[in-house]
Amino acid sequence: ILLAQPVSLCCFQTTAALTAGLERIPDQLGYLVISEDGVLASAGELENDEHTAGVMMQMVRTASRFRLPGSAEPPFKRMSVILEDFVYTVTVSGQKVFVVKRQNNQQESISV
Amino acid sequence: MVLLCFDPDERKPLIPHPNPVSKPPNGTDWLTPSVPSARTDEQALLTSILTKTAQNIIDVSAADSVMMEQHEYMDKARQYSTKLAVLSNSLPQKKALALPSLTSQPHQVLASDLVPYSDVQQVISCTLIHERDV
Repeated sequence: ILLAQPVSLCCFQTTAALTAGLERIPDQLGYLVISEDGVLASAGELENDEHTAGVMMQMVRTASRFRLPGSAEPPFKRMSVILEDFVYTVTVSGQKVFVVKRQNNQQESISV
Repeated sequence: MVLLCFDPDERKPLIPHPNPVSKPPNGTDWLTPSVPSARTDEQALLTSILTKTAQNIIDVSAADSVMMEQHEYMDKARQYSTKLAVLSNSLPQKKALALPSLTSQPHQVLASDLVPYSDVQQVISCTLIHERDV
């Protein structure tokens, strides 16, 4: 399941280092920071996970091509790839793709 | 195997002139019927190869006579460069597009609440309805 979700802004951490903020994300199981040239940083369950990095890169590229009529920018800030037990949250900033694998604590199981 | 022999009469043209009137008058034309037929066949074959080769040759010995001045070279180079520039601008860009910036605060965006389960369930049901209708 892929959702492009608009996220409201709040004031939380603006001057963090590349990965310092990612470590503190609640329920995070691992993360990836990817550039055009490859994986820049990785940790936890996504440590050195080149395969997931490639898939996420391709997915966010595809999703970011989508435009609403009259808008020049992609209409979302975060892409969520939702699985039963965990969620990949993905965003792009400064030519870098950030992927965080988070625990999916929601009780109901998703049935398709 | 092809054996190359020097003809004693070196002035004899390798390719017989198409106009029979201008044949060498000495009667040594190698297509004369006096030679054995096997030799005639071989000679005829060689002649046809030689003729074909001569037809396929592009004589570039005269190319030097068409001299271009330095400024003509420069003009042509400029002309071709301009044409190339116009063409390359009209071609679609092969290079992958740069990644768009979705946010200036990635950590904050990634840390915000996950998509509510009800939203996910709604999207799933919409997708199922859409698939059923298609």
